[in-house]
Amino acid sequence: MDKSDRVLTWAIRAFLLIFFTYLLFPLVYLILLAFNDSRIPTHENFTFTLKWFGEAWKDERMWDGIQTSLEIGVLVVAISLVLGMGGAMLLVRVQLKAKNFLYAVLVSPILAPGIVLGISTFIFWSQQLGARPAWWTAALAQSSFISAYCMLIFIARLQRFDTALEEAGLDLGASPRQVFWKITMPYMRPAMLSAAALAFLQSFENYTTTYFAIGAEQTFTIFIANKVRQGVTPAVNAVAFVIVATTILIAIILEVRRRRRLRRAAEVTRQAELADLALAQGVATAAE
Amino acid sequence: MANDLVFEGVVKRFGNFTAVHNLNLTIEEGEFFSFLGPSGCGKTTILRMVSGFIEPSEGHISLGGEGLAGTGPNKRPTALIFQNLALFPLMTVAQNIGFGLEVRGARAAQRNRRVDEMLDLIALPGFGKRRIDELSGGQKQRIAIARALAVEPKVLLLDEPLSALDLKLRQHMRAELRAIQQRTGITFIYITHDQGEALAMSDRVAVMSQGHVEQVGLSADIYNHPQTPFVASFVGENNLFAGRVAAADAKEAVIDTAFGRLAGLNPRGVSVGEEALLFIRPERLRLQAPESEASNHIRSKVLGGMFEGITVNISLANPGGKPVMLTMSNDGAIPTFDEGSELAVHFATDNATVLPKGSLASG
Amino acid sequence: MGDAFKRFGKAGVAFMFASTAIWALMLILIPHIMLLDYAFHANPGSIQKGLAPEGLTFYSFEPLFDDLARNTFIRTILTSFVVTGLALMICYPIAYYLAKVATSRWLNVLMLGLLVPFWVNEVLRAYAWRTLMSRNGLLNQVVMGLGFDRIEFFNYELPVVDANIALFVGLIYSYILFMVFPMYSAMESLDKNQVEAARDLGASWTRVHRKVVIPHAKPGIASGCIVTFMLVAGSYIVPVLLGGRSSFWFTQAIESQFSVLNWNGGSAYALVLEFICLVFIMIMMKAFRVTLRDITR
Repeated sequence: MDKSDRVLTWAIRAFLLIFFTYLLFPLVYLILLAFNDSRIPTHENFTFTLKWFGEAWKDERMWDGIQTSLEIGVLVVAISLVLGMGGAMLLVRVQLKAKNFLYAVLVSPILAPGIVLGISTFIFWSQQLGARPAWWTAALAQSSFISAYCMLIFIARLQRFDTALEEAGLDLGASPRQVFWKITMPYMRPAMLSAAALAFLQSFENYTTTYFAIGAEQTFTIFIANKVRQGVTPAVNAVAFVIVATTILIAIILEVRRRRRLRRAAEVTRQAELADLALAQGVATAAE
Repeated sequence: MANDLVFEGVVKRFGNFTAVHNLNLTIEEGEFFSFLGPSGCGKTTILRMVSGFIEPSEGHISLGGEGLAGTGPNKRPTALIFQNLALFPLMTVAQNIGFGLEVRGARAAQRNRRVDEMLDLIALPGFGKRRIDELSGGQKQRIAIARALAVEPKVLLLDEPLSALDLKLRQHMRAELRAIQQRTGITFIYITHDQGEALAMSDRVAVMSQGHVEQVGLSADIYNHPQTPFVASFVGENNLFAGRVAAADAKEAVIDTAFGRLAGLNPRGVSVGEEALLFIRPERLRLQAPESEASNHIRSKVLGGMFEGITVNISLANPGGKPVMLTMSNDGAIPTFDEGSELAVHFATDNATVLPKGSLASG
Repeated sequence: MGDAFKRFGKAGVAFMFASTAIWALMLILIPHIMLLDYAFHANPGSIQKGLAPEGLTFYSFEPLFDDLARNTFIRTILTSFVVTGLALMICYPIAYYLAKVATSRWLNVLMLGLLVPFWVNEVLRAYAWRTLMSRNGLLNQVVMGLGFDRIEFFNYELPVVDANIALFVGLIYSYILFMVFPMYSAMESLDKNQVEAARDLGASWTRVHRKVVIPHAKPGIASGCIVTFMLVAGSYIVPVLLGGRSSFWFTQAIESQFSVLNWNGGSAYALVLEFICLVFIMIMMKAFRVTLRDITR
């Protein structure tokens, strides 16, 4: 490696270091303040305490917010999986003339500002149709773009589906419904799971779209935002700590599972190769 | 017979393109029947029409007297072995084989019994719990067949199932398939472009080209007595001599070629003055002493010889055409041939066929 | 289509069409049409007072030409532009490093390091900066400790963008990751052999990037820019928390219309915002020569 390459490497490493510090430091600072015994969030006169966790725990409105967020999340997941799947099946498997146009329409919510989605939902359901803005109008607003994310995941998975499997199912006597539930859906399961997780996470942490569509109700995120706007105690930081800790925990669990799955898959491939090798050499193993 | 498959005037068009022209054929119950032809000849289309994934543009297909039109693939008494096998990757072997019964609502006990029967039939007992991705190519083949046979179809359709296997395995599977067909007595309809396969396994073969059935018959007949130039050139190796008919009667015909007058059988009744082709198989050419004057002889320069173990192939110059091929058994009595030396070969009239000019198999 | 009926049955095909129709109509098209409708009508109050005509009119758009609204709008668009550009420059090396250079052990750790802040809510991200940048917050303590004057993060307006420092930094921080992931995704599919081949043939790093990496990563770059721009321009809570007294954001202008129950005015403003984002998307798609399918992963 010549000198200029080495300089480049160190420059990049320094850049990465600065970047990740910039990225992570504010969060670290944020959650550290949760442990300081001080009325306002500050790092001065640091005295360790856990009392803000207790304060946060006692906050009724926080629990209400969490409940609302969960309700919305569940509804959004249900709607988005169904709509996303329908859209994906239609775009991938059916011959349509207006395919590109339809794709553009269904995907457009992803490319529109969240505030516009929230407002248009509010205008339609509340102003025009007269419904009181509530958790379900927020769910509808979120679903418009979360369904699109789900649909993209499903399209990617469906495009790799071997349609001969469906034909085989039909040929063996299954009705289209049986083919769908016994062959197609099991194949889609991994995509369903990751889409559901993605949908729930996106719904739970959404602010702008929800805020403009929900009216007076509060989600967990809106609750935090209100707390921050009004005037804070480190209770908010305590909540932030729990959120960050949970996120890290989930990320680690997912990573461990991913590694385990890879290891298992590699092992299976190895076994199959050995079996074919034995057959090709005409060796009569116990199998053949 | 009761469960014969009958094609009456079956035509299939895709827009302007006609994939199958006017197919009229009866496949008898219990036959091992093959459609043989190059890709694009229409054999896959025929298979998909029988299995129900496509409907004919014209004509009828009936099984055991009942028309199949309008019946979906899941309601037909046929089962299809796909080219890529299409085994359900997320299910075990037992679940795959039992799938047809499961969707018909059979109870677990009944399903398991049938699965075990099938596993015995394909000589893989105890394989039920295995996963599909753990199987070798040959095993997957047999599981696919077991899965199809489990639903007791009246007709089993096989779409070039052996094309992905290597040579030794393929030969092994040919025998297996034939054995299974004889044991179960089910009608097998097999499509392939490999003529060795078709001839070896089948009772009857239909040779197809560009949507037309060129000839239907027993394997030996297809090989020894081709009726069209396409069949003569597609099935096996064949030497071809073009010329004008000099003499002809109901049995034989003589044509004037660059090598002189050659005579062969006249199945299509060519008449004097017609442009015709004479076909003679490489293995039917015999060495001749240069001085002898037997009829049907060809004298030419040796271009080269290839020793292939069981046989020896000699090629002779044929100006204006492909080299003449002579195939001899390696019986220990083969003389050596020098390149460029002259060689005379001859053949019996009964071993050659004269056919009217027509399209040939490419390559 | 007949084939579809055979494969999926009548019920299956009906479901596909029905669900898509419901989604397209009820959740996307009709609400949008309503938005258009409201935007191009005046609010009932003004009509009653005789200030505005009934029926289709530009009345609700007119306040945008006043100084306050116009400056707010310009500030929002300019800042979004600059933030997007900065994010692009910062994230390109990061994405490339992750996609092509990092060894698999480090990659997992770094990705984790990116994902965790990504999953933490934008509200908390903005809040963190507000604490850091307050008058006696950590940053100012460091600054003063070094002997400088205290920095008024919330009051010092940056030139050109006319937004205060806190808001500017906060916006970058909140949305920068939306730039990394699409670019990373696009770069990942680039065969590393191409890069090595180019280097082997003597190309400098600049040339390698210009001729090999960027053309391949175009969809990701376009996608990242579009999403970042849209999120910054449409951001609400971040300006609320970090905007201080004078860096008013366009979304806040929308909100202020709504707070006086002027649904028509709010709709008009929202439409303008959406229109600008649409224009930006079209420009990006033309400039990078990518299609809609390319940029939606």
